[in-house]
Formats: sequence, structure tokens, C-alpha cells
Amino acid sequence: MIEELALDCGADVLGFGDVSEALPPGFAHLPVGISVGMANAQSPGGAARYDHRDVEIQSALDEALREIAAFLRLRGYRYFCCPAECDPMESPFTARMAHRFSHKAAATCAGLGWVGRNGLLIHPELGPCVSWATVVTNAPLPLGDPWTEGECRGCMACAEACPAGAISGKGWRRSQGMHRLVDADRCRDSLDTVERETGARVCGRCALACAAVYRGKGAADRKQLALNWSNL
Amino acid sequence: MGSDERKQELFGKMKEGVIEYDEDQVVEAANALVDEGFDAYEGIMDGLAAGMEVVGELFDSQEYFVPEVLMCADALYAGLDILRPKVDMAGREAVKGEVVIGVVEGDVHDIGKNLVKMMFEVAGFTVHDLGADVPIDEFVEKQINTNSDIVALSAMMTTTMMGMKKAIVKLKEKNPDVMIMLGGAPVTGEIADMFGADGYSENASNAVSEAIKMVAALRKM
Ligand code: B12
Ligand code: SF4
Ligand code: SF4
Repeated sequence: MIEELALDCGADVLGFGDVSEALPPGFAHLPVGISVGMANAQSPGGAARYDHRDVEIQSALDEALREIAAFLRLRGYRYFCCPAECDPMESPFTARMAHRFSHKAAATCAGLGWVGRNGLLIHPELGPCVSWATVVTNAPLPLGDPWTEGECRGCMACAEACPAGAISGKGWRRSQGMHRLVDADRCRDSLDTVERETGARVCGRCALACAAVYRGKGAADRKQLALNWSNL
Repeated sequence: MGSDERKQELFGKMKEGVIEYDEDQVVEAANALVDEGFDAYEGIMDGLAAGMEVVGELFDSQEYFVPEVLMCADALYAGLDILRPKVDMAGREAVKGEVVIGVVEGDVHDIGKNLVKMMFEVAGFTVHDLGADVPIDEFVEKQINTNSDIVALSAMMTTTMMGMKKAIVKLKEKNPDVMIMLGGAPVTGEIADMFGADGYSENASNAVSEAIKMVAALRKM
């Protein structure tokens, strides 16, 4: 039923996971993560940049969170919505928290995908060009099987594509906790440069390079591909 | 229904909306209050702030935790957005006082700081928010320029905390009556005493609780 709700408002992926190990302080009583993903419409094909903050997708994700929250409230469960992106001016208190909660961790815990060398959440069928949002709750939902290791195998496409050299090429393991795979300072500096030059703070070449691995493949092929990346 | 009864009903709805972090209910009641011509200031104090006081109690009794408090604060804020522009300042004691507020270093404490700031505003204070990562001297400067009654400082690091002592000495030198509040991870009651501060809050989540408790105090002022 909750799945229908989110899909009704356009979510492409939805899953439940035990996020107790990935919560910020003060959230221990909300150990179940509801991870919601929406594939970005723009074709990764010819684009030079990837903007994950498409306005329509953002507001659709917000709507999905609102519906999930109303559903949980009606049934007497506790919840907290972590929006995909947030304007601290609009929702001055809850929005501040959203930056401290990892949507990617919620997604791996729910078994929706793994973290690639590019530090992004890779959904086995939709790839990296998905925007994520999360609701944490105390509702007893059927939990997914968490992903605990990256599936990049022999691929290094994102590390080669990054103009900032921010991607070291290390593989992700859940046991490393919140360990960062990407040099965020280098990425930020590069985004600063792009912003100065173009006016938009967008890069995402790491996402595009990864999406290119999927290009032209059907969903089934993509799954197969994910398992066979050692051949790349 | 009598008009007073209706007023109390709307106050109750706002209060309950804040406690149950139900933004929609708060917004609906606040709009009704305005439409029906009731006093917006009373609505803020006896509806919204009264609700936050209960939230403070729920937080103390560990019924609520940080996420609930943040949602309650957002619900309060939504009501404030509607009521604040309608507050009739004429015939009311204009401002209760002025406060300088800021975080000395680090951003973790921002939420606590913003909550304290909102509570001061709710209670009718003029707030000078210096933001985060503020050098100590700026607090002193601002206090002198505005002649504020209260200075609220928070620090996240032991190293910067030592700077606070100097600030307090300077502030008290200029104005012995200025009230100084300290907050932040490394601040303890003893340190606050030693530094000569007037109030402190123990840690990040206590800062939240302290902030809420201040409403109660402020409502009585
Ligand atoms: C701050 C931030 C940035 C910063 C810093 C990023 C960084 N690498 O640290 C900057 C500005 C550099 C940035 C850039 C970008 N970002 Co950004 N960013 C965020 C934000 C707001 C917080 C991320 C964060 O720092 N979390 C804390 C750290 C410690 O955790 P983490 O890096 O998120 O992830 C780790 C954990 O999840 C851990 N983990 C995974 N599973 C589990 C399970 C358990 C139990 C545990 C303990 C841990 C764990 O592994 C991850 C990798 O180490 C998120 C939104 C959000 N709230 O999640 C978006 C987000 C990560 N960004 C996103 C995107 C798309 C981008 C850009 C492509 C922007 C662009 N279009 O140009 C680039 C890509 C950079 C890159 N390759 O990582 C998307 C990613 C979507 C996806 N498919 O993964 C997100 C999720 C936004 C969203 N709502 O969709 N970003
Ligand atoms: S967004 Fe650009 S700079 Fe940042 S990691 Fe990806 S490719 Fe590198
Ligand atoms: S481009 Fe290749 S290495 Fe990088 S995240 Fe995607 S699959 Fe992994």
C-alpha cells in the first residue's frame, strides 16, 4: 500500500531498510528507512553535464515524502522526512537536518543499489542518474536485503572522466561506514569553477560516464552488465 | 459560540498542531484567527509558544527526540509566518529588548542557535543574528553598537571556548548588566560559572531543550 502511494506520485523505486547504523544522533528511535528514488528524465547520452536537481523531480519527490508522511501519521507511527534537496529558508529546522542524512546509505540498506567508485548510488537497472530522498520511521515494514559491496568490477570510467581528479578509484564496502570515496574538496573547487564559467553549479560527469556504460541497453541487459563488468 | 470560546478553540488548535507537528492544522487555525479578527500576538504566545512549551516537556521526558522537536519547530514557524505580519505593535510595548546571537565556531550548533533565535523573536525581542563562525570581537562590537541586553554565544571547540572568557570580561566591563548565555559541546556549568556567564546549556541536544525552556521564561517577562 505504501508502495502504491509513492508510485502514484511518480517514484520509480521504493524500498525499506534497516538504517540504524547510518543515523545521525537523536534519531535512534526511527530505525527504518524508506528510500525513494526518481530517475532523472534528461538523457545522459549527449549531455555535457548532469543536473540532478531537476525542478519537476524535486517537487515530485517532495510530494512522495508528504504522502508517505501522511500515511504513517494516520497509522500512529513516528517519522521524519529527509528531502532530496532543501531550501533552509523554506523549512528552517527540518531542512537543516537533511544534509546530515545520507540518502545513499538509506538506499543501500534497503537493497536498492550499491555505491560506485564515483561515490554515487548505482541502481542495478536505472544506473546513477537517480535522485534520492528518504523518510525514517518506527513503522514495522518488510526490510530489504542490504547491499554491502560495490559492483564496479573492472570499470574505472568515472575516475577517468572526472575533470577534478576527485575520484580515487577505490571500491565501496559498507563495513567502511561513512568513509568518503570522493575528494569532496576537489569536487567543490571544480564546481566553483564551472559556476564561475557557466553560472550553473553543475558537473556530474562522474554520473554521465557511469550512465554511458548502460546506454542503449534494456533493463535486463543492464542487470547482466552489472554482473559482468569484470569484462570491461 | 461565544467569541472568547472560539478564540480559545483556535489557540488550542494551534497549540495541539505544534505539539503534534501538524503544520496543516497550525496553518489552518492561524489563518482562521486572522480572518476572524483575533489578536495575532496572543495567538503566538498562547497558541504557538504554549505548544512549544509542552514539546519541551515531552523532550525532557524522552517522549520526543530531536527529529520531533525539529518538526514541531517547523510547525510553529509556519504559524509564525502567518501571524507575525499581523501583530499590532501600536498600544503594545514595542520591543522587550535586544539580543546578539551567534555561533563562535562550527555549524553543528546552528539548529540550536536558530531555535533560540526564533524563541527570542516569538517573545518580541529584536534579534541581531551574527550567523556561524563568528569571531569573538564581533559579539563585543555588536553588543556595544546595539546596546543589547543579552548576548547568546555558542562554541563547539575547546580552543575557541577560551576566547569566550575574554569576550565575557570585555562585555561585562562595558556593561555590567548585560546578560550572557553560553552553549555548545565543550561548555559545562562549571566553566560557565568560572567565565562569569549567566546561563549555559550542556550539549547540542540540551541546547534544544534549553531553547524551549526559554519560551516559558520569556512568556512571563
Ligand atoms: C554534500 C553533498 C555533496 C557535496 C559533497 C559530496 C561528497 N562526496 O562528500 C558535493 C557538493 C561535492 C556534492 C557533489 C555532487 N553531488 Co551531492 N550531495 C551531497 C548531500 C547533500 C550530502 C552527502 C554527504 O556528504 N553525506 C555524508 C557522507 C559521509 O555520506 P555519503 O557521501 O552520502 O555516502 C556514503 C555513505 O552513504 C556510505 N554508506 C553507504 N551505505 C551505507 C550503509 C551504512 C550502514 C553506513 C554506515 C554507511 C553507508 O557510503 C557512501 C560513500 O562513502 C547528498 C544528499 C544527501 N542528503 O544524501 C547529495 C547527493 C549525494 N549528491 C548527489 C549528486 C548527484 C551530486 C553531483 C553529481 C552533483 C552534480 N550534478 O554536479 C556531485 C557528484 C559528486 C560525487 N561524485 O560524489 C546525489 C547522488 C545521487 C546518486 N545517485 O547517488 C545526492 C544523493 C542528492 C540526491 N538527493 O539525490 N554533493
Ligand atoms: S561532479 Fe564532476 S568534479 Fe565532482 S566528482 Fe563528479 S565528475 Fe568529478
Ligand atoms: S563508471 Fe564504472 S567505476 Fe564508476 S561507478 Fe560506474 S560502474 Fe563504477
